[in-house]
Amino acid sequence: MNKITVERKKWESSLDSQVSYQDGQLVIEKSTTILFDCNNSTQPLSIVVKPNVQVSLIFQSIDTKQNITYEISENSQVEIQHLSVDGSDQVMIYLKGEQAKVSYYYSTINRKENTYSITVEHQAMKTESNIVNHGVNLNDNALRFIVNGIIPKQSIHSVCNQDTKIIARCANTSFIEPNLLIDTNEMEANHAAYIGRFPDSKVFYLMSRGIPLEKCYELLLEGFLLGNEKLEQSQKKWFFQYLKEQKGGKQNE
Amino acid sequence: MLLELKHLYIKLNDKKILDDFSLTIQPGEVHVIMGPNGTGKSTLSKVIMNHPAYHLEQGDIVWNGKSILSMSTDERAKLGIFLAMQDPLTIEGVSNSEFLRTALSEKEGKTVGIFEFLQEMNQAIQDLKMSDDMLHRSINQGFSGGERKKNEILQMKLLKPQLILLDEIDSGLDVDSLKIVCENINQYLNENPQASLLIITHYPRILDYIKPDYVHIMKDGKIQKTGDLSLAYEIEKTGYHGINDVSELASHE
Repeated sequence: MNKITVERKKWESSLDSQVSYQDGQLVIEKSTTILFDCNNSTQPLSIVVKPNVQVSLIFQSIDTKQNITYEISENSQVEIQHLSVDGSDQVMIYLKGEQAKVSYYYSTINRKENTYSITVEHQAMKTESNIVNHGVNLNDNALRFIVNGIIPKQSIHSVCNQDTKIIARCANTSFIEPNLLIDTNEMEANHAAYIGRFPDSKVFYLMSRGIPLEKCYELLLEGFLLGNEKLEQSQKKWFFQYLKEQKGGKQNE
Repeated sequence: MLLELKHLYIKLNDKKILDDFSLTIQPGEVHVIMGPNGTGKSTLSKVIMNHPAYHLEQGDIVWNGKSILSMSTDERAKLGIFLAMQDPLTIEGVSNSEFLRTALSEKEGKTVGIFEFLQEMNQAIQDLKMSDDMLHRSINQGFSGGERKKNEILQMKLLKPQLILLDEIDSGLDVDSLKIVCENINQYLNENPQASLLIITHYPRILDYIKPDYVHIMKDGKIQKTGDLSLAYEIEKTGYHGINDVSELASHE
């Protein structure tokens, strides 16, 4: 698998010929998978996806404040799994060509004050975006999600979906700002936003099978953040260690 | 005595849900509670399992001679009380196998080996004529109403309880599925003659398959009449109107 490691401002990459990298810009010419391992980084990153390719990108990031920009060309599909611990990243996605599609699954464990924003601009017709943001706020700091979908006139027959949830395990100081800026009638847009606890009914269901409260939360958090079946076991394990480290965070009773 | 429910009182929004409700269940007995909608039948099953939405104002719940009022839901489940729910929830991201292996490990007090677990699961899946892939799917996600009810019985078979509470297990089941579910319950009772069963239902249909020792008619938060199977068929003919004779079967009230 292609891999890019970013430690503060130092970049290391191990890439095959399908990907070229120069001055912070990745150009993806053919279908491929890339793993990004980012630690303490503020380095901007630009990813250009050429036409007719399928790309899978996996991010593992800790303490990052990165500007990440995607330009996705016609008939290309990009799936991004972003596992973040304390991220304040700004993500900008341009769907530049017809039938360009992006699916973005962002899962974050929050322990500090963080604002994550993601904007998708549909610049061509028949484009599609599915943005799923799941965050768990482990303490009294605020986690902020700003989620924008921009669909101008020319982007008819496009689909723009946003689904954003934050589970607050302590005081609820988080917020979600979902925006759909639509300038055409012929398109489909959906958004859902939820901030709160895990429903008591779900906790009760698990406990009624003999599973103690704290273990129930572990199962629910793991399902909430890592329910995506496409993630590999090693990635899930990497992410889940940060939840287990933070035993202090408990859902308000 | 396995379970004694002693003079239970519950109010919800100033309405009496359980009003001096009493019932005793001996090992190996099969009890049925029937009654009109909104009479407190489902509340009763949830109170036994300590659902957070219901707080007992008076009364006691005694298990094998000891009060379990101070016990949490998971502790009650570990005693051997199992509630098969009327409307089993979907829990996204938590697979059936992960959930059940966790529950089984909690019950056994040690991590259950994957081989042993899969052997038991596969047998139960076959018995209930369920699809093999249910193991890897999220809890009840994409399940039909019938599959959800079968999943409850599958959990029962794995967790091997002493007392089974079936809350309208027959609702949402077609004739064939009801037969399969009841066959599995009967098989379990045959293999575990000390296990007891409390069936909560509106209709006597399920009693064509599972023969009860006692049928109780519940109305206005308490048992109004107790009899045998013939009482259930009488109710089917005449309805619940006119049921106000307090049972003379004192041992069950």
